[in-house]
Amino acid sequence: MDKAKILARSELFKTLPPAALAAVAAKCEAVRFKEAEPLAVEGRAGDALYVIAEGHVDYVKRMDEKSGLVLLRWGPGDVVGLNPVMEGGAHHVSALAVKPVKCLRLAADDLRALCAADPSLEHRVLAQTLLIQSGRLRQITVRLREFLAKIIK
Amino acid sequence: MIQREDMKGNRLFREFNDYELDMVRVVVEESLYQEGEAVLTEGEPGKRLYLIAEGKCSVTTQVPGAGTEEISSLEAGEFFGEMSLLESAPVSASVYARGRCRLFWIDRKAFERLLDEDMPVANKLLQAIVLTFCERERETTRKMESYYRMSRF
Repeated sequence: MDKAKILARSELFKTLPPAALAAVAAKCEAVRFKEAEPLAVEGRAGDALYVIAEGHVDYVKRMDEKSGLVLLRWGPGDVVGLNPVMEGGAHHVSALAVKPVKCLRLAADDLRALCAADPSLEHRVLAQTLLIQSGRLRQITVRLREFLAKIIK
Repeated sequence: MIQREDMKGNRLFREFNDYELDMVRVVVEESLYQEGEAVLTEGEPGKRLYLIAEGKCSVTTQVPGAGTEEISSLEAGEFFGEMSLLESAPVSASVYARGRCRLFWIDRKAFERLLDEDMPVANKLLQAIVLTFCERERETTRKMESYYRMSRF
Protein backbone atom coordinates (compact mmCIF):
# COMPACT_ATOMS: atom_id res chain seq x y z
CA MET A 1 0.00 0.00 0.00
CA ASP A 2 1.60 3.30 -1.11
CA LYS A 3 0.56 5.49 1.81
CA ALA A 4 1.66 8.82 0.30
CA LYS A 5 -0.32 8.06 -2.87
CA ILE A 6 -3.46 7.29 -0.86
CA LEU A 7 -3.02 10.50 1.16
CA ALA A 8 -2.47 12.52 -2.03
CA ARG A 9 -5.87 11.33 -3.26
CA SER A 10 -7.63 12.13 0.01
CA GLU A 11 -9.76 15.22 0.56
CA LEU A 12 -7.85 16.16 3.70
CA PHE A 13 -4.28 15.88 2.48
CA LYS A 14 -4.46 16.39 -1.27
CA THR A 15 -3.10 19.96 -1.11
CA LEU A 16 0.08 18.98 0.79
CA PRO A 17 3.43 19.18 -1.03
CA PRO A 18 5.37 15.86 -1.43
CA ALA A 19 7.64 16.38 1.60
CA ALA A 20 4.69 17.06 3.90
CA LEU A 21 2.79 14.09 2.44
CA ALA A 22 5.78 11.86 3.17
CA ALA A 23 5.91 13.16 6.76
CA VAL A 24 2.23 12.36 7.27
CA ALA A 25 2.56 8.97 5.52
CA ALA A 26 5.39 8.01 7.88
CA LYS A 27 2.97 8.35 10.81
CA CYS A 28 0.14 6.38 9.18
CA GLU A 29 -0.63 2.74 9.79
CA ALA A 30 -2.48 0.54 7.26
CA VAL A 31 -5.55 -1.04 8.84
CA ARG A 32 -8.49 -3.16 7.66
CA PHE A 33 -12.08 -3.44 8.87
CA LYS A 34 -14.49 -6.30 8.22
CA GLU A 35 -18.02 -5.78 6.94
CA ALA A 36 -20.19 -4.05 9.61
CA GLU A 37 -17.19 -3.44 11.86
CA PRO A 38 -17.12 0.05 13.42
CA LEU A 39 -14.34 2.50 12.63
CA ALA A 40 -15.92 4.88 15.13
CA VAL A 41 -18.53 4.41 17.85
CA GLU A 42 -20.92 7.17 18.91
CA GLY A 43 -20.06 8.37 22.42
CA ARG A 44 -16.52 6.94 22.43
CA ALA A 45 -13.42 9.13 22.35
CA GLY A 46 -11.89 9.69 18.93
CA ASP A 47 -8.15 9.25 19.12
CA ALA A 48 -7.40 8.80 15.41
CA LEU A 49 -8.67 9.58 11.94
CA TYR A 50 -8.99 7.10 9.08
CA VAL A 51 -8.36 7.84 5.40
CA ILE A 52 -10.36 5.37 3.31
CA ALA A 53 -8.28 3.63 0.62
CA GLU A 54 -10.80 0.98 -0.47
CA GLY A 55 -14.43 0.28 0.37
CA HIS A 56 -17.26 2.33 1.83
CA VAL A 57 -18.25 3.48 5.29
CA ASP A 58 -21.69 4.55 6.57
CA TYR A 59 -21.96 7.54 8.91
CA VAL A 60 -24.79 6.52 11.25
CA LYS A 61 -26.61 8.52 13.95
CA ARG A 62 -28.24 6.44 16.67
CA MET A 63 -31.95 7.29 16.91
CA ASP A 64 -32.92 4.95 19.74
CA GLU A 65 -31.86 1.61 21.23
CA LYS A 66 -32.73 -0.31 18.08
CA SER A 67 -32.34 1.96 15.10
CA GLY A 68 -29.94 4.34 13.43
CA LEU A 69 -30.14 6.74 10.52
CA VAL A 70 -27.51 6.67 7.77
CA LEU A 71 -26.56 10.32 7.28
CA LEU A 72 -23.83 9.91 4.67
CA ARG A 73 -21.84 7.22 2.88
CA TRP A 74 -18.10 7.70 2.49
CA GLY A 75 -15.73 6.12 -0.01
CA PRO A 76 -12.08 6.18 -1.08
CA GLY A 77 -10.43 9.50 -0.29
CA ASP A 78 -12.89 10.39 2.46
CA VAL A 79 -11.84 10.80 6.08
CA VAL A 80 -13.52 9.24 9.12
CA GLY A 81 -13.19 10.65 12.64
CA LEU A 82 -12.17 14.16 11.69
CA ASN A 83 -14.31 16.16 14.15
CA PRO A 84 -13.28 14.37 17.37
CA VAL A 85 -9.63 14.69 16.35
CA MET A 86 -10.06 18.41 15.70
CA GLU A 87 -11.94 19.23 18.90
CA GLY A 88 -10.57 16.49 21.12
CA GLY A 89 -13.94 15.01 22.03
CA ALA A 90 -16.08 11.94 21.47
CA HIS A 91 -17.66 10.71 18.22
CA HIS A 92 -21.20 12.06 17.93
CA VAL A 93 -22.06 9.46 15.26
CA SER A 94 -20.80 5.99 14.42
CA ALA A 95 -18.94 4.95 11.27
CA LEU A 96 -19.51 1.37 10.05
CA ALA A 97 -17.73 -0.51 7.26
CA VAL A 98 -20.33 -1.33 4.60
CA LYS A 99 -18.09 -4.08 3.17
CA PRO A 100 -14.43 -4.84 3.97
CA VAL A 101 -12.55 -1.56 4.16
CA LYS A 102 -8.85 -0.75 3.81
CA CYS A 103 -7.65 2.53 5.25
CA LEU A 104 -4.83 4.48 6.82
CA ARG A 105 -4.96 5.30 10.52
CA LEU A 106 -3.38 8.51 11.76
CA ALA A 107 -3.31 9.05 15.53
CA ALA A 108 -4.66 12.42 16.70
CA ASP A 109 -1.49 13.10 18.69
CA ASP A 110 0.65 12.51 15.59
CA LEU A 111 -1.45 14.89 13.51
CA ARG A 112 -1.23 17.54 16.23
CA ALA A 113 2.55 17.13 16.44
CA LEU A 114 2.90 17.41 12.65
CA CYS A 115 0.79 20.59 12.66
CA ALA A 116 2.71 22.12 15.56
CA ALA A 117 6.00 21.50 13.76
CA ASP A 118 4.89 22.90 10.41
CA PRO A 119 2.42 25.87 10.35
CA SER A 120 2.09 25.56 6.58
CA LEU A 121 0.96 21.94 6.92
CA GLU A 122 -1.43 23.02 9.68
CA HIS A 123 -2.82 25.75 7.42
CA ARG A 124 -3.49 23.37 4.55
CA VAL A 125 -5.01 20.73 6.81
CA LEU A 126 -7.29 23.29 8.52
CA ALA A 127 -8.38 24.79 5.19
CA GLN A 128 -9.25 21.34 3.79
CA THR A 129 -10.97 20.38 7.05
CA LEU A 130 -13.25 23.37 6.66
CA LEU A 131 -14.18 22.45 3.11
CA ILE A 132 -14.90 18.87 4.18
CA GLN A 133 -16.95 19.98 7.19
CA SER A 134 -18.83 22.57 5.19
CA GLY A 135 -19.77 20.00 2.53
CA ARG A 136 -20.85 17.49 5.18
CA LEU A 137 -22.88 20.04 7.09
CA ARG A 138 -24.63 20.98 3.87
CA GLN A 139 -25.43 17.30 3.14
CA ILE A 140 -26.59 16.68 6.72
CA THR A 141 -28.84 19.76 6.56
CA VAL A 142 -30.43 18.31 3.40
CA ARG A 143 -30.95 15.00 5.28
CA LEU A 144 -32.50 16.94 8.20
CA ARG A 145 -34.87 18.66 5.78
CA GLU A 146 -35.87 15.31 4.20
CA PHE A 147 -36.25 13.76 7.63
CA LEU A 148 -38.48 16.59 8.83
CA ALA A 149 -40.64 16.38 5.68
CA LYS A 150 -41.05 12.61 6.23
CA ILE A 151 -42.04 13.09 9.89
CA ILE A 152 -44.54 15.84 9.03
CA LYS A 153 -46.16 13.59 6.37
CA MET B 1 -13.57 51.53 13.17
CA ILE B 2 -14.92 48.61 15.25
CA GLN B 3 -13.52 48.52 18.79
CA ARG B 4 -11.26 45.65 19.93
CA GLU B 5 -13.60 44.87 22.82
CA ASP B 6 -16.51 44.41 20.42
CA MET B 7 -14.44 41.98 18.37
CA LYS B 8 -13.22 40.00 21.38
CA GLY B 9 -16.82 39.17 22.23
CA ASN B 10 -17.10 36.98 19.14
CA ARG B 11 -16.07 33.32 19.36
CA LEU B 12 -14.13 33.69 16.12
CA PHE B 13 -11.62 36.03 17.76
CA ARG B 14 -11.45 34.71 21.33
CA GLU B 15 -7.85 33.52 20.94
CA PHE B 16 -6.68 36.67 19.14
CA ASN B 17 -4.21 39.09 20.76
CA ASP B 18 -4.49 42.88 20.26
CA TYR B 19 -2.12 42.92 17.28
CA GLU B 20 -4.12 40.21 15.52
CA LEU B 21 -7.42 41.92 16.36
CA ASP B 22 -6.08 45.14 14.81
CA MET B 23 -5.25 43.26 11.62
CA VAL B 24 -8.82 42.04 11.38
CA ARG B 25 -10.81 45.05 12.55
CA VAL B 26 -9.59 47.28 9.71
CA VAL B 27 -11.57 45.12 7.26
CA VAL B 28 -14.71 44.73 9.40
CA GLU B 29 -17.84 46.72 8.53
CA GLU B 30 -21.02 47.19 10.55
CA SER B 31 -24.75 47.06 9.68
CA LEU B 32 -27.97 47.31 11.66
CA TYR B 33 -30.98 45.08 10.97
CA GLN B 34 -34.53 45.41 12.24
CA GLU B 35 -36.96 42.68 13.40
CA GLY B 36 -37.75 40.22 10.60
CA GLU B 37 -35.29 41.71 8.15
CA ALA B 38 -33.47 39.14 5.98
CA VAL B 39 -29.69 39.05 6.37
CA LEU B 40 -29.18 36.03 4.11
CA THR B 41 -31.63 34.32 1.77
CA GLU B 42 -31.41 30.59 1.01
CA GLY B 43 -30.09 29.99 -2.51
CA GLU B 44 -28.47 33.38 -3.07
CA PRO B 45 -24.68 33.64 -3.53
CA GLY B 46 -22.80 34.09 -0.24
CA LYS B 47 -20.77 37.28 -0.14
CA ARG B 48 -20.04 37.98 3.52
CA LEU B 49 -19.11 36.43 6.84
CA TYR B 50 -21.37 37.92 9.54
CA LEU B 51 -20.58 38.31 13.25
CA ILE B 52 -23.42 39.01 15.69
CA ALA B 53 -22.40 41.92 17.92
CA GLU B 54 -25.84 42.52 19.49
CA GLY B 55 -29.20 40.78 19.17
CA LYS B 56 -30.33 37.39 17.89
CA CYS B 57 -30.81 35.81 14.48
CA SER B 58 -33.01 32.98 13.31
CA VAL B 59 -31.76 30.37 10.81
CA THR B 60 -34.55 28.91 8.69
CA THR B 61 -34.95 26.49 5.81
CA GLN B 62 -37.74 25.45 3.45
CA VAL B 63 -39.14 22.01 4.32
CA PRO B 64 -41.21 20.36 1.56
CA GLY B 65 -44.82 20.09 2.73
CA ALA B 66 -44.27 22.17 5.84
CA GLY B 67 -43.01 25.55 4.65
CA THR B 68 -40.43 27.52 6.58
CA GLU B 69 -38.91 25.84 9.64
CA GLU B 70 -36.45 27.36 12.11
CA ILE B 71 -33.44 25.06 12.35
CA SER B 72 -31.29 27.14 14.63
CA SER B 73 -31.06 30.35 16.63
CA LEU B 74 -27.86 32.39 16.86
CA GLU B 75 -26.93 34.89 19.57
CA ALA B 76 -24.41 37.67 20.12
CA GLY B 77 -20.88 36.29 19.89
CA GLU B 78 -21.73 33.81 17.13
CA PHE B 79 -21.08 34.05 13.39
CA PHE B 80 -22.62 32.78 10.14
CA GLY B 81 -22.26 32.96 6.37
CA GLU B 82 -18.84 31.30 6.33
CA MET B 83 -19.98 28.11 4.56
CA SER B 84 -20.92 29.74 1.29
CA LEU B 85 -17.85 31.98 1.50
CA LEU B 86 -15.54 29.00 1.88
CA GLU B 87 -17.19 26.90 -0.81
CA SER B 88 -18.19 29.71 -3.18
CA ALA B 89 -21.61 28.07 -3.06
CA PRO B 90 -25.15 29.43 -2.59
CA VAL B 91 -26.35 30.12 0.95
CA SER B 92 -27.81 26.89 2.42
CA ALA B 93 -30.31 28.52 4.83
CA SER B 94 -31.95 31.90 5.36
CA VAL B 95 -31.06 34.12 8.32
CA TYR B 96 -33.44 36.75 9.77
CA ALA B 97 -32.97 39.34 12.49
CA ARG B 98 -34.96 38.59 15.64
CA GLY B 99 -35.44 42.05 17.04
CA ARG B 100 -32.88 44.77 16.43
CA CYS B 101 -29.52 43.31 15.44
CA ARG B 102 -26.08 44.86 15.20
CA LEU B 103 -23.95 42.80 12.85
CA PHE B 104 -20.31 43.07 11.82
CA TRP B 105 -19.31 41.65 8.46
CA ILE B 106 -16.26 40.82 6.37
CA ASP B 107 -16.62 40.53 2.60
CA ARG B 108 -15.17 37.69 0.54
CA LYS B 109 -12.09 39.57 -0.69
CA ALA B 110 -11.12 40.78 2.78
CA PHE B 111 -11.71 37.31 4.22
CA GLU B 112 -9.48 35.71 1.58
CA ARG B 113 -6.83 38.35 2.20
CA LEU B 114 -6.87 37.56 5.93
CA LEU B 115 -6.30 33.89 5.13
CA ASP B 116 -3.43 34.69 2.77
CA GLU B 117 -1.53 37.46 4.56
CA ASP B 118 -0.51 36.17 7.97
CA MET B 119 -0.34 32.44 8.71
CA PRO B 120 -0.73 32.58 12.53
CA VAL B 121 -3.81 34.81 12.14
CA ALA B 122 -5.18 32.62 9.35
CA ASN B 123 -4.66 29.44 11.35
CA LYS B 124 -6.39 30.89 14.43
CA LEU B 125 -9.31 31.96 12.26
CA LEU B 126 -9.54 28.55 10.55
CA GLN B 127 -9.24 26.74 13.88
CA ALA B 128 -12.12 28.75 15.36
CA ILE B 129 -14.34 27.97 12.36
CA VAL B 130 -13.39 24.26 12.46
CA LEU B 131 -14.44 24.05 16.13
CA THR B 132 -17.71 25.83 15.40
CA PHE B 133 -18.43 23.44 12.52
CA CYS B 134 -17.85 20.49 14.87
CA GLU B 135 -20.42 21.97 17.23
CA ARG B 136 -22.93 22.72 14.46
CA GLU B 137 -22.72 19.20 13.07
CA ARG B 138 -23.23 17.78 16.56
CA GLU B 139 -26.26 20.04 17.13
CA THR B 140 -27.79 19.15 13.75
CA THR B 141 -27.51 15.40 14.33
CA ARG B 142 -28.83 15.81 17.89
CA LYS B 143 -31.79 17.68 16.46
CA MET B 144 -32.51 14.76 14.13
CA GLU B 145 -32.53 12.44 17.10
CA SER B 146 -34.98 14.62 19.01
CA TYR B 147 -37.29 14.98 15.97
CA TYR B 148 -37.20 11.19 15.66
CA ARG B 149 -38.14 10.76 19.33
CA MET B 150 -40.98 13.29 19.01
CA SER B 151 -42.28 11.48 15.93
CA ARG B 152 -42.54 8.24 17.94
CA PHE B 153 -45.13 9.73 20.36
